Amino acid sequence: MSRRPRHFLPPGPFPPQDPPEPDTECDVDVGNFDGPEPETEMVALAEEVDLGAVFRDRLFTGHHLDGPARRALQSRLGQALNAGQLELGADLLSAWADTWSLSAMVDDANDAWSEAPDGPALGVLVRAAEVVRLALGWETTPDGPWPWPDEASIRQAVGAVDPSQDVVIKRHPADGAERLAGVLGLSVVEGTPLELPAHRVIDPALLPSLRAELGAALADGSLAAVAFTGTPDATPAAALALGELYLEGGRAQEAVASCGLAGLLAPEVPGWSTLRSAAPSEDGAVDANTVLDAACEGALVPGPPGRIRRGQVDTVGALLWVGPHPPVWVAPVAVHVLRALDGQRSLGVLEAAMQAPPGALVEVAQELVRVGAALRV
Amino acid sequence: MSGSLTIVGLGPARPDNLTWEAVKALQAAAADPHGWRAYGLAHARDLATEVAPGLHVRSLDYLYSLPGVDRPVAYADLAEMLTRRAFSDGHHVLYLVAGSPLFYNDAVLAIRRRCAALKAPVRLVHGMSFVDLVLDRVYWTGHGGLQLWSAWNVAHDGVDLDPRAPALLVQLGEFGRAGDALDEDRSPQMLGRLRDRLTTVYPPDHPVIVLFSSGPPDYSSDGRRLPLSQLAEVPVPVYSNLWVPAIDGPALEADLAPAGVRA
Repeated sequence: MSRRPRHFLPPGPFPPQDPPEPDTECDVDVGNFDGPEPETEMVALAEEVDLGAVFRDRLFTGHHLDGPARRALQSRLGQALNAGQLELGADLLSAWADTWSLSAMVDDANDAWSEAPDGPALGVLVRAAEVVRLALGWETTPDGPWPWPDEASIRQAVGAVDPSQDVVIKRHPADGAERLAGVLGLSVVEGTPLELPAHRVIDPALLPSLRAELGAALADGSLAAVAFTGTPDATPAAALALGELYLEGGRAQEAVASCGLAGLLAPEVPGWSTLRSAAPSEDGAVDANTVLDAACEGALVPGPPGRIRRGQVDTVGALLWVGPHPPVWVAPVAVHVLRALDGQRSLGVLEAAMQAPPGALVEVAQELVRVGAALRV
Repeated sequence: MSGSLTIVGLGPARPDNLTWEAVKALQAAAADPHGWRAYGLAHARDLATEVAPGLHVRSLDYLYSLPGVDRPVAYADLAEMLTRRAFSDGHHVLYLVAGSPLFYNDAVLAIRRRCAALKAPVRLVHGMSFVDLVLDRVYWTGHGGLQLWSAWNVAHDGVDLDPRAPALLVQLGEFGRAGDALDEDRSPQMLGRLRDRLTTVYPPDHPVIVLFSSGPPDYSSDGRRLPLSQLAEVPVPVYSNLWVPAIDGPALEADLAPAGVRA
């Protein structure tokens, strides 16, 4: 039995674009109102497979970030540090720590983005994209920071293909359609172009020579932003030209730089650092009679990312919230204390159990309360 | 194309120092956001929007942080870009600068020269210079003239002062020919070079006056009188200037004037 042909959309960040509803309000032919049914025949409609949505729904989830992605990052972090790759190690540790926040934020972001372009949702998804890409070691999509699945993952996602009827749909010159078609051995068919604000995608080598033209177009609003097929050279001419694009393109240009073409759909995308804020905390002093419970998780890690980047690998503590709060880097003893908090024993009892010097545990616990890592019971 | 280019001097510090012409130019641009495109550094933006709320000033701060792009190249590029925006693309361009556009402003110089080369008119809206603020803590008679130099010129470029006339040496905190400002802690290095150069002409006990601003929000003028030999002993704020009275000049010119009263 033959199956329906499939139209594959490349992996990428774009939310679904529904085809326009047919116009049914006009031109009703009253004379034919009671006429015979028009002759119809069964036409095999193609099944659209949006690999962007497929991979988002598999990988940009709290479940994935909380489990497989975090474990993969931890494993890669160890390998990177053992190999002396400190820059990569710092990036991996930062990504690993962010899996806690992302696990609480990404599902809502994915739902919102799948409904319609949304700046805050895009901000979360972009960070999730970086984290997923680092976890899986994948490359990026042609137009930005989004993870481009490896060949095995693409094949596993689409199953067997039929080159006689399955095709890859191209909606934008930079959407990776040719790349996907190459992996699957399918041909490319031009589809309905992505509905994006006016923009140009250029070879970065052409930036200095096109600068005046692009700057003028951004200034008069005929272009919203300029995207590149690669990274512009680190020459003064390219840097100055790029500066003019940011000057005239404003938020849309910045959004394209950080999010790829998806940024055109939500130019007011906030940066990841502004999407999280310090955890709520309680006022007031604690003492030996206070009973506390942990409000976050604690981990011992090989240093804050900034220190690792400077070549200093040493154990520190990390306080990690399953919520929109950034990690807090602390002395290892704070993690030991946090882990001991059980919502039942007072700090005095814990201090005795841990054989800590008098007052030391209360002092650490006070700091944990101050940063919102512990709450009174 | 019917664009225009206007350079607006915003005065040295406070909105009170803006000229009425500058205020009108800023408010006109704010009232017609599609007709005007305003550009300036962050501090110019803050000052301008105090008198013209809603004015969108495009930030040129990036020009100071591009790797491999030194100040002269950045200024030339800015001149090319703004004249292109005005006279090729047809926009009405407002370029906002701190102080007076005509005092120690290489970017404005580059723009004016480029406009002249293009035979394109440029409108200058003058602004009060920082020199006005600086001089209120000394008594300059004007009888012996005035030498105005960058401190860098004297310390590093071999410029010799004429000891018969007072001198105002500006930008004591400068650490490069292109006008980069250093942090306060590094100023003794420049001051030491300056002291060594000046003591070839002036006696070590010659009085000099370090002139500086108290900074935001008051920007009141401040000064410190000391013998030339002690010039490098205490760091000075980044935007400081040095008053060097003439040898055998009016005694009045060697005095530190008391702080003025501000309304």
